[in-house]
Amino acid sequence: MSRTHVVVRGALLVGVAGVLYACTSNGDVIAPPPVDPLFTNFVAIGNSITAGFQSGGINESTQQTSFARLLAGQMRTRYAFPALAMPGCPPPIVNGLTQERLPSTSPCALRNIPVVNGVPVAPSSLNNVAVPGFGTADVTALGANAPRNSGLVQLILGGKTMVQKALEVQPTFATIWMGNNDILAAALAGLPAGATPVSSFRANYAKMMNEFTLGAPGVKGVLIGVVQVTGVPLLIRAEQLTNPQNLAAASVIAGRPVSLDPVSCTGPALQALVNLLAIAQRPAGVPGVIFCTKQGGSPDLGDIGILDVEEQATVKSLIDGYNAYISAKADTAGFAYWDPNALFDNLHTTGAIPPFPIVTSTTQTFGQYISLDGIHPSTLAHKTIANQLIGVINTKYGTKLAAIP
Amino acid sequence: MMTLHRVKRFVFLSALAVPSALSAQAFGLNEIGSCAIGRAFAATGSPCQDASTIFWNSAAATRLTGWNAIAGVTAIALNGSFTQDTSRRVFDADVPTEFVPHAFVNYHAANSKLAYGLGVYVPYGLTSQWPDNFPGKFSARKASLQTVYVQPNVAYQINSKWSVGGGPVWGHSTVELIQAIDLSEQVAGALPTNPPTPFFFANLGIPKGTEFARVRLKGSATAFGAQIAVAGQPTPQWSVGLRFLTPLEFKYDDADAVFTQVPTGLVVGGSLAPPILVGALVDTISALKAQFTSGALIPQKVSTRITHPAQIQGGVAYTGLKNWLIEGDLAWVGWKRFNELPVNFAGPAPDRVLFEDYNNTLSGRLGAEYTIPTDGWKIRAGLAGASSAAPDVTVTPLLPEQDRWYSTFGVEVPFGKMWKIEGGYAHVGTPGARGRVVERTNRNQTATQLNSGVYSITANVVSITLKASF
Repeated sequence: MSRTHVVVRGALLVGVAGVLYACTSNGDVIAPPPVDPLFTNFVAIGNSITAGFQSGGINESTQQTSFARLLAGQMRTRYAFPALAMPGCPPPIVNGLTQERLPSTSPCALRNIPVVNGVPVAPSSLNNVAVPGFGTADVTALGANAPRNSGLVQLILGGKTMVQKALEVQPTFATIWMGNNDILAAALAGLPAGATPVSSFRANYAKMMNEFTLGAPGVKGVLIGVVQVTGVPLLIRAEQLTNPQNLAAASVIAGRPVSLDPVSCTGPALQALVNLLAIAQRPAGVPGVIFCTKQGGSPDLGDIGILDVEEQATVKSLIDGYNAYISAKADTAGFAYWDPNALFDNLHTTGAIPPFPIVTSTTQTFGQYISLDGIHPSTLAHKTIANQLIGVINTKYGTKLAAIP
Repeated sequence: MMTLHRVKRFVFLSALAVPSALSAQAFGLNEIGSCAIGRAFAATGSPCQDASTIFWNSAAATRLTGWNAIAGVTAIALNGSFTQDTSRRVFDADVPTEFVPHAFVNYHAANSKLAYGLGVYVPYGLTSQWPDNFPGKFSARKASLQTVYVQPNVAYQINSKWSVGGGPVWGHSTVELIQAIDLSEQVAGALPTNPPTPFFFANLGIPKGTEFARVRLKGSATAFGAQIAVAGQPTPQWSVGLRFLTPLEFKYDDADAVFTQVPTGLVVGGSLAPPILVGALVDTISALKAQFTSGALIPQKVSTRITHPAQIQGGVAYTGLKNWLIEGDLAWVGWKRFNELPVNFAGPAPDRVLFEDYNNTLSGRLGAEYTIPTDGWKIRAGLAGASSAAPDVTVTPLLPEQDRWYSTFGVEVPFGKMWKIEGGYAHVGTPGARGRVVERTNRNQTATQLNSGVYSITANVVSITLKASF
């Protein structure tokens, strides 16, 4: 009987040895690990800036300049973006003075998908789901229910909402920069009443965050505040037009002789912001006189394309309201918060963003930090944004993301 | 007559059974008798003393006396997963526990040089099944190969030391493949160039891996082959054996291909050009729906061909230690015949070829058996290893083939005058292997280009067999 025990024990040992051997593995996942497990799956939610929209256009070249891509590189995590075929959708501006764009046979090129042996190889999910033009009401909406829908929405989101698309990567970390378009178009038009009211903004933003965090339990990230859009260099202070050289340049941009109304454009009213492209869109025959306050009448030449001092205060108040909510939301969600306005204020103060377009430059018409549309950050600005975000992330989460040299 | 009924019943059961992969190389299965499992399939030099010798060494059937019948079933429980490189997501396989039957009967009159028998066994089979969120479902959502061999056998005792045996093999095989079809890869239109440049739904933002249809290919085939063997006992302590099973080529010529639409739930996010207009449901786009009524995705016939490869196994057994049997075997399988899997549609769906490019394999098997003299119990254990038949570029959802090893254990318990019951257990381990989730559309594509993650697989095999001798 004892012999039997020996045999059985021996056989069991052989079996156990085999099982233990079976537990070793030499098949390894080869993707390098991210800098921190927090960054295992990264997603960037946002609008044109996050998407890499520059100089009034977007294509796979501008998309690669996005701060989101730079961040992903420092995180050493996967980064798939919806590459748009050249020359773009729409093609970017290549001349800041003439606003000439890359030549194209179509207003919107399709997605650029490599084809291998006759089979298109598209990414299965995206780490950058940002859509140019999107506002907070669009992020959770589908199809025609998204007020700011466009062909780009289909090309980037492929039939899903932005939040649904973002959740496809099972994100562990996100940047969310949403809200600029809730007010930008209204500000550029000089009609702040068209901006999203703070109450609606809060509801939209809350819906977005609820859907996103429910779909990605434990996700962390950074919420980014809305830019004070009165600082975009496309909007020129009326006082700049007291300079005859600037006035001459403005006349070229507006396509008609531009002059300051001597009655309304005095004292503090000279701080009114003028969108020269709106002046250019005045009907033929309408003079290029700039009024710094509302004049009444229809159309009101002191209103459309002009953001007077009072309206600027309204815009600032709205954006302050947006950002107060975003900041509070970041706190409750355990996210970091970054207010981009300190950066842009500093660039204005130092003159890095010029108060008036540099009319001697076709490629840096709005300085080094703003692209040729006078609104969107340039490649250099994206790098600066990425580095500022890296600082915020490291501070909040104790990570060791290296700055981009 | 009674025996014949049993055989018929087991032929039927075998045809119903769904064998699972991962218990031999590629889609081979070694689970033919609990005794052989306990000995890690080292059972050709001195086969188990029962009718399963018809498979393991048909010549040794002359060593049995009288009637000998066995029947049993093997349960194979597989754990598999795929870990994606980029996301590190783990997708667990969804393979149900499968049951593989075996049944043999043999008759050898005491003074006769001839033995006769019949075996019903499953030497090849496969089930792979993955969940709906698995990115490789476009290669194989489910693949099933059910093959049963029926082998009449005659063995002849040349002299007191040597025997030969063999018989024809009739094989019946059913193959089923369910694949998802990717919307992103479908042509959506053409750009107005000269000549027009086709573009795909992928160019319209549809991500790779958007299932809009599913195809089920199912068919069956029969094939003929043979198995022969030689068994020898040059000295009282040493036994040797060699068996050869011919390849069987199954031509599934009249299989059915059925395509069904799968809702994507996608809504066009913004207008591009008709019919891609904001708010439109992608599933209702007429050009897409027409694929299922008058296009490439109508029901149609399909054919394919799968060769079940040849096997050669040789073994040497030693019984010089009292109550012990120790055997070592080498087994060769001609997997090189499995180089392509053609899928040819009789209708408008595009034909294609799956490149397999398997290699022949060699496996080593070491088994031991101890007989407890007081009560006749037998205790068995063994170790075996098998190299992967698939090259690095063919580790796929259909069959994530890789090196594997077995640690086995078994026991046989006699009861009554004529009965024995035996059990066998095997743990199957693998080292994990890098593999792909996409089709290889060109032989120039390499493993480095295509493999995007790691397949990990283990299996537990439990077998039970009832034996009768009379």
